[in-house]
Amino acid sequence: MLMASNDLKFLIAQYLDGTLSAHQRAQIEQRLTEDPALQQFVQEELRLDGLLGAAAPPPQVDWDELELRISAAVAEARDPQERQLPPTAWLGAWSGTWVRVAALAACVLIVADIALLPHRAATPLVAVPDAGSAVVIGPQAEPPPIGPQFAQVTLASPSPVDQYLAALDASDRPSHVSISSATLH
Amino acid sequence: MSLLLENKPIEVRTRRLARPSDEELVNRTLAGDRTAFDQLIRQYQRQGVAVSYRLVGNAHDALEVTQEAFLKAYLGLRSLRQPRAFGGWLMRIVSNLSLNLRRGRGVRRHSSLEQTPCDELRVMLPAGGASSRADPFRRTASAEMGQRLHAALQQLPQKQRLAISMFTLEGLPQKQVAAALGCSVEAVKWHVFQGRQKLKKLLKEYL
Repeated sequence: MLMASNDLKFLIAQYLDGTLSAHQRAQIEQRLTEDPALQQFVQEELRLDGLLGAAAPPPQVDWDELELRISAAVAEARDPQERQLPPTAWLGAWSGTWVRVAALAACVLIVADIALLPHRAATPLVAVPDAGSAVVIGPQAEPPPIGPQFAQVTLASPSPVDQYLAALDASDRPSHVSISSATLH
Repeated sequence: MSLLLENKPIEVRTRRLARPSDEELVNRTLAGDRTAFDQLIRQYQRQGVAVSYRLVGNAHDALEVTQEAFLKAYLGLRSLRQPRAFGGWLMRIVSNLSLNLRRGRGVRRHSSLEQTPCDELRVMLPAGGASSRADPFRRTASAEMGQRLHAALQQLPQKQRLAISMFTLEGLPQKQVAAALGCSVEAVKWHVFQGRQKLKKLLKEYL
């Protein structure tokens, strides 16, 4: 009786595990019919399978109960992580969307504000509906600097200021007129 | 299957609901779907307990290890590079935890395949433990045989022991075993083969 080589035994083990190709299976089956040592090896393998299958049955477990227990343990580990998130985290995916929309809107407003800046500088500091009728400046004086307390005003005509100025002599006219915003209303 | 309705046979095809893949379940878990990981638990808890049981030798520790393994898997899920290999990755965690437990507790507790579970776990194990199905004679014989087999398995090199536990005893796919052991499928076949040859020598009197 010939001793089967380790490689051949390995192939037979694969044959028994069903991992060989059809061609390899046919070759092994041919060898098995010819070699009693290989037949002996196959018998030992099958007996070991029987022994392994019968001797150590896996534990009987209430799988539903175990699943609940594991799931609860996972939830317990998960929740502290979630509690560490910032307060807005409860918004979930929405928070990210709204933050992005708000940021975009802010950008648009800033760009629009910058684009309109030259136009805004050209407009009078106090808007008057019918512009262009009178500039209230005295005869010998330079126009005063425009500051917080002064306003260069273009008034509608005839206005109460025009009527007042017309009633004065030229020498009595003021070099400039300061008008509080309250008088314009 | 066919139903007869108004003398016309109607073909009724049984439709099997498509089970989501591991990859899908892992991705859904990472996206915040709380139910997806529960499905992974349902799917792999039996394998986890069975593999751990072969390594630690008692159901109580196997349940503890399995729970811890799922917890570790959940917390480390983002580090899993191939979500479709979740099963093999989980079994690797299970086997590592089982071996760590064995090392930590020494050999004293290895001899018994069934120990008294704590109260919390008792509800999950039927009265009489793992070997309660057979009659007393068979139960005793099976318990004795189980102890001999367990002792023989402990004498194998680690990879051979793991390969036999996962592939031969639990019937896990070779690819999954390979992922769990961190080796090729061919290496798994070789570990199984070598381990079996050693087991045959160790259990010669029973063969």
